Amino acid sequence: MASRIGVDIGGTFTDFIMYNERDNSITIDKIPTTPLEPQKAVIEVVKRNLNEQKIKEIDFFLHGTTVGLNALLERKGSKVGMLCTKGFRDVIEIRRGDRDEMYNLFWQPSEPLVPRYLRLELNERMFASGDVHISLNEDEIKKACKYFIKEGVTSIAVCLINSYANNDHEKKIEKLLRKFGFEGYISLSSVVSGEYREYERTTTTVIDSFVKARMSNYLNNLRNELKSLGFKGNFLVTRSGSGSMTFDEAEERPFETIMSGPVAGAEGAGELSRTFKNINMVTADVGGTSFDTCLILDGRPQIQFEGRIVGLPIQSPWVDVRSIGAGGGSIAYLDEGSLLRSGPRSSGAQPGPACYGRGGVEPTTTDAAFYLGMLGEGNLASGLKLKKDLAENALKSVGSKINLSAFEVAKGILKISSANMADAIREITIEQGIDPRELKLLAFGGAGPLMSNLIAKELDIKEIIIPPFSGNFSAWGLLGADLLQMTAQTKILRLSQESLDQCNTILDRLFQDLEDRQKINFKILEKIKEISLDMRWMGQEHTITLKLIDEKNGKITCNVDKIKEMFVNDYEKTFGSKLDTVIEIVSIRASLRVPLPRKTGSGKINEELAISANDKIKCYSFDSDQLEEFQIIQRSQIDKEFSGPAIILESTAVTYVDKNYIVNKDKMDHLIITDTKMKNE
Amino acid sequence: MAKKIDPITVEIIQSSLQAACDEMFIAMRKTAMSSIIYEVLDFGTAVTDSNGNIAASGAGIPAFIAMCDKAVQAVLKKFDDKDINPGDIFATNDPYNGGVTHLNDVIVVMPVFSGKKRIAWTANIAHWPDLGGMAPGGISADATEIFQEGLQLPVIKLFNQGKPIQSVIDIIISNSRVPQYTKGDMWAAIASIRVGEKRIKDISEKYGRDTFEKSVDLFMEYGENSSLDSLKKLKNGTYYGEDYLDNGKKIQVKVTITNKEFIVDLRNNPVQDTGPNNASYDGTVVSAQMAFKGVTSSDFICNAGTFRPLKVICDEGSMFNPIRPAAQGIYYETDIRSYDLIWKTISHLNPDKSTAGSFASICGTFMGGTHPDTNEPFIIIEPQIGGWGASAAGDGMSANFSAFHGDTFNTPAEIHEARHGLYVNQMRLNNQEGGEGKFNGGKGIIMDYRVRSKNAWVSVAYTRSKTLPWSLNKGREGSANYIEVIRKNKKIEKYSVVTGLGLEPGDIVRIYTGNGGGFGDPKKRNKEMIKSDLLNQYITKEQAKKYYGYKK
Repeated sequence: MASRIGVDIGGTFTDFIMYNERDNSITIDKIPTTPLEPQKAVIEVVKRNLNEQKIKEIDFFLHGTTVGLNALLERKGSKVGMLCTKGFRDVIEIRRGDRDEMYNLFWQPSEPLVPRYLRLELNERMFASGDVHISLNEDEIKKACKYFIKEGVTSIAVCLINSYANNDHEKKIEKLLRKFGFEGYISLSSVVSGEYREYERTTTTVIDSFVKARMSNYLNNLRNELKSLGFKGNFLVTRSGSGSMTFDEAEERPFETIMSGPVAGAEGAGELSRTFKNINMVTADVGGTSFDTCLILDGRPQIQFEGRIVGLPIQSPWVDVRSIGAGGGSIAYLDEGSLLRSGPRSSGAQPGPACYGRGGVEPTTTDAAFYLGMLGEGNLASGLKLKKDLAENALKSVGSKINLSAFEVAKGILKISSANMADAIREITIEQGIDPRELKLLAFGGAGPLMSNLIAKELDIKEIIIPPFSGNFSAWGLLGADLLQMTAQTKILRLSQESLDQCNTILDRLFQDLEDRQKINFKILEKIKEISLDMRWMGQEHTITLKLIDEKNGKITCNVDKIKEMFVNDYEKTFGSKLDTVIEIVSIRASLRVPLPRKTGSGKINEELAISANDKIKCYSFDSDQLEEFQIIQRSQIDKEFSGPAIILESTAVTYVDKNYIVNKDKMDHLIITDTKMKNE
Repeated sequence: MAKKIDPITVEIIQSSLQAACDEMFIAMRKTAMSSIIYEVLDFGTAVTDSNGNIAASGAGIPAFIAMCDKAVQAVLKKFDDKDINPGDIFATNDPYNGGVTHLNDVIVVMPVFSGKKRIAWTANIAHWPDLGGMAPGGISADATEIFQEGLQLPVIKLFNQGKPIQSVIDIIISNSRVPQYTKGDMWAAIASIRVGEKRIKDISEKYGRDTFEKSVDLFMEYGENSSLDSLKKLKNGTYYGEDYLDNGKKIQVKVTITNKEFIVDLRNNPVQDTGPNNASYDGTVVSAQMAFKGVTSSDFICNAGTFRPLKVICDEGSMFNPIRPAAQGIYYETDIRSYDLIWKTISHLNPDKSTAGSFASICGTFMGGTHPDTNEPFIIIEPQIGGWGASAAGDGMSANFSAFHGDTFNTPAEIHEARHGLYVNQMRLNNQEGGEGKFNGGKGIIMDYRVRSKNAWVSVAYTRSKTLPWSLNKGREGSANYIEVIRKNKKIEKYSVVTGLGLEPGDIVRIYTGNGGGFGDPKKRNKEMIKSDLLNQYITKEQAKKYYGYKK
């Protein structure tokens, strides 16, 4: 048990949530984001919800931020100098020779983060075996150091070939740079990643160097301001690879936060799954501009080990959340061939959907849903009254060009966007050999509950779960983020009892590294050491990651036959075949999880009633393909099972329930919506 | 119930087909054994309608997309409907018979049934590293007949109603110098088309067979209309272009553009090569399709309809349409020559898209030997990246695969060293002269493989080694593609074409790929750009003075 606050900075709003352990209460707030100085909104929203006395009682401040990502997107980072092995200074410019848009013969790659004159080569060399081929030359480093200082470099990235196999040279270079007077930031590729593929590892290291100063300043400012408000607890920030890390560690390893944007929602989903005895789920997080989906298996989101951002690869774990440009504000239009399309362009917060009456004239998903009756009477809790005539005009502006009525266009928009969302879900499920029909759909975000019924239908998913505070569920997820660190090393080994011993030696070191990174000012209840192995059939390059779920003490204890059996089963499940060659281990992955104290219960929130004048409305049913009478129900007033069609209102979201679905509310305030047709099958 | 299909359903079905192709692509990539497939992504996936018209395709190599359909059409020509059943898998690699390219590219296809009716095909084409032939890797510049290039699979059945025809598979595997790789890659291909089959069945069942089939037709119409719209924007007329091969022979093309047609006339070109520098008619069509796509629309939509306005005419018995048994191993250099020729002839029609010439060679580099650490045979097959031509819009792209490749990747030095037992001494931008202009051609690369193994060998067949990438508006020509072999005793040999050249431990194979051609007079290059080029050592002071007239 511990009180905590979570603040998640989004593109439009900064969301606040506080859990107070004393009275088990939850406070939620939202404030417009202040993009130029993001900490301003954070401080403001904390101040207006907590006085100094209350701030002192908080144990954890959990933060989700896109500061690092923005530095990269805006190309406003440090002046980086790069040291590399002789012959390889063009690695970040040559990339892998690929063209993102294959039919576009004029495509240009993004500019390297380090200009060529700041990339210096060293006459040194490691072999892939880790043996030294050419030793370091101290004079060369002295010269490089002087040059960088003269050029005003504030951050140095050291990226040597084969340093994943032996990082001795990189470590020595760090010491020498200090010895020769460099005072800025230093990033070593072997510390950043430890995995092979020089372009990807170098780019990751350069990104780390590039964002470090800005991230560090931001976190320091935020920390100081919160301290001056009286905060005495721990500062944590979410990681791209799930969980959270201390501000101190984030300053050291800022690249690990870069893809953390949609992670909080996935974390919340993981926690929810665990309260349901680890049911397998897929999420539908629909906001204003994007749809994020994530697969939850065995109570955890899925982790990938390489991502891509603004055209640059990042060799860092990230929660496999796929995003597409489809949300409540997505704009529908006709393409050159007069086909109806939806997104990725969004009406954003300004002007917003046409029906908001703030000057928007293009039809959005929200306009379509409202026009069909799916948002009830359109009286939002904020006091905004949606305008049907404006929605209609917007829909007609598109429909008239293809001889479709506003009604037909509205149906089309919802069908297209739900089909796009379903395709994104297929991508993350089928790709891993998971049949989406066997999953539950967890819907949240402002427009998630609205779309959930249609998405479930597309995928033949039988059961939908709508969590409490569904519109603010991501912020809620932030509160449950465990402290987590991960690391990995590439070491190619043929699977045998002996190689498992070698793995254990490597694991000892990896876990020691992780322990050294941890500094937290709270009585730690337990530490969980988790192990995964990247494995493949010999001859293959790509691997599948085998989680050794039963190994919790940082050592592989099960025997080689057991590992082999697990790998073969996993492989067969994913690709439908098995081979008869030798099995290889490629990378060894270690993660250290320190669970934060559990939240007790789900907390209570004072729900303001969403207003609606009527308790019935004519609304389009996708099931019967005609208008039907839907009942309108307040979520807080649901006390027994009932059947659709219905529109369920709560302060931050609206749930659409079609015919042939039944709705239940469980003790923990989840709505469970079940397809009765499939139930009877 | 006759029901008009709404555009929304068409769109959903099309997206689902695209998603199916992408799933097929991922399955192949993740399970393949050869780096040419899993890293370089030298493969493609596609879905066709029941008659073999391309409906959708996955990422990877653009040139591969329009190849799978020809294989399906070859199956339909050879087999009666009663012999095409659910669970069947067919294969071809015969360029004279739906295989399009060369014997190493194996296409496997599978019919998709909804009930008893065939509604579609899924297909996968991939470069299998070795299927026999006179040289390791199958491709030899010395081949004079297709019989020397490996095992021919002349549109055969591989699986019968879900069951492997083991004797056929055994023949294929035992003809490979690297049987384990071949087996692994074959199963990867099968996994890929099966994933697609399952998905398309689901789509068809969900929306109804009729709706599915009509939607596919409608989307092809859409592709055709989109191409016709682009054609209308091009100036009608007949355009003539010519180029020279490295052997001095002239190649030429006449392109006639009307509002409805785009006719590529490749008659009067050299007769078929006595060696392997030939490309099948189907392959030549693919080149024309690529150039056509390049000058019309760069969007992602690409199906049979897109190419309906295109006609290609070739003389039988020419290098662009040879007669059996002409060898075709190095088809890719022949294809890229016809592509480059057509591109040179028409790119100016769309002034925004007018470019100087690129390095424009696959620069296929084959190496092999005995792995020094494991003593097992290995083969690597690497296309190389090079410089693209400059345009009125700016400098050309540096270090990129040719237009025949798209979303493909080179092999990292660290993977070569860890897996192939080679050292990579350097991989840098090509600092040789060539391609100077108001806008510079993109840079090629210089890359060293240092040999560790005994019994090692290298084969290459690069073009644009003598006839250099063209320049425009007083820019300078680009530079050449070739390799040097630097022997341990420092003796240097230079090649653009060589087969099975023996290598000793310590020898270095140094690859040079060309800089693209320049656009505009280099003396008119912006001074700030020259300064930046100097600061970043893209050019030397001498070059700045000599070509750009730059005085500090």
